[in-house]
Amino acid sequence: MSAMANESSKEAQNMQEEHHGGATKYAIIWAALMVLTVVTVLTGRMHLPNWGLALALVIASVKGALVALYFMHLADHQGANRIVFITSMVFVVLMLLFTLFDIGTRFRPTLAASGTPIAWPVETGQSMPYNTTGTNEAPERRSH
Amino acid sequence: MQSSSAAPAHHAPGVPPVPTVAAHFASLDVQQHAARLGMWLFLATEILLFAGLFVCYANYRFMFPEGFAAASRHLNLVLGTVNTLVLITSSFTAAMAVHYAKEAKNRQVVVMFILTILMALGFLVIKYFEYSHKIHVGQLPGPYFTDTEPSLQVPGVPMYFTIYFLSTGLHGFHVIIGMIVLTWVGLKANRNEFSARNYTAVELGSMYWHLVDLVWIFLFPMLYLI
Repeated sequence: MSAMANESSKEAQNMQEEHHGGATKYAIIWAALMVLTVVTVLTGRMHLPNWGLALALVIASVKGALVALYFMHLADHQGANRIVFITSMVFVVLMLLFTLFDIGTRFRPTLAASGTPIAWPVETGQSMPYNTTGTNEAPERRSH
Repeated sequence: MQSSSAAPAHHAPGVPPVPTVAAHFASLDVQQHAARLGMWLFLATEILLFAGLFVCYANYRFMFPEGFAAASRHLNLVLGTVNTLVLITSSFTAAMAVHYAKEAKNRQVVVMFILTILMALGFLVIKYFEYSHKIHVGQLPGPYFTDTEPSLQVPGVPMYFTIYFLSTGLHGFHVIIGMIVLTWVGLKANRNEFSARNYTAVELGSMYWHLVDLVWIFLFPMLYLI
């Protein structure tokens, strides 16, 4: 209980100190977010073949981090607030990864017939890349 | 600071009413800390709500990379970019509202919230034009997809528009809720309620608005920039 009270009074102190620089700081973050938006639009329009999506996600994550840390004051607040936010992010990543692992390691006949995943499952070494024939048809693959 | 007389009807810095502390909280600090933590817990559930749609997107994009790329090129990038800039700027004004609330400048809090709500309205108007164009040409979810444009006759295109309408629709719903929340807090600011000792409502209302911005920051590249 006392730890909680201490922490929040520390926060209150931080908030007081932040008083002077608050407006300037928000303006800087706003400018950074605007610039990053323009950057992501420009790089997005180039249709970069391999790293386009990764780059867009990195830029979005940086923008998201700026919003969470400074607009939502996570940089000033310690403890439980940060743990709640980070935990939710961890679970978002877990949910994404596990469903993608699942669908990414399936064999061709278990995927949608009209789907055109590029080359998968590559990691298992149990099948060849799809669409080697240039058609969208699923290879004739019966068990045994 | 100590004057806890009746709340003044007009703007008078330094005299806002001192907030009451509920019996089960040790102090005002603890009470505000609990309010903030509760808001973060709520926002975590919101993040996970949108994450369901992100997972849906990731899996179908993996299945239909060409369909998603083809459909994405039929979104209006200019309108999407303008909307992103509008939403980021509205997030900035919401943050400024917290800054002014801490200094008991209630009049400026009202101005900042009015600006934020106007930009939210602008966002929705642009979204309306995008939606009406999509409905007009038949770029609709799943079985309702009727666009005969040759470049869109690729597997996965109707699924892209399903996810497009679901995710932007859910986000638009959050924009409307955010506007209601900010109006309500703005009315409190108009009654001169906020000061360095009590700005929790402004802070939590703004946090909700920042979350709306945060979600759009990820939706924008996903949908418009494939």
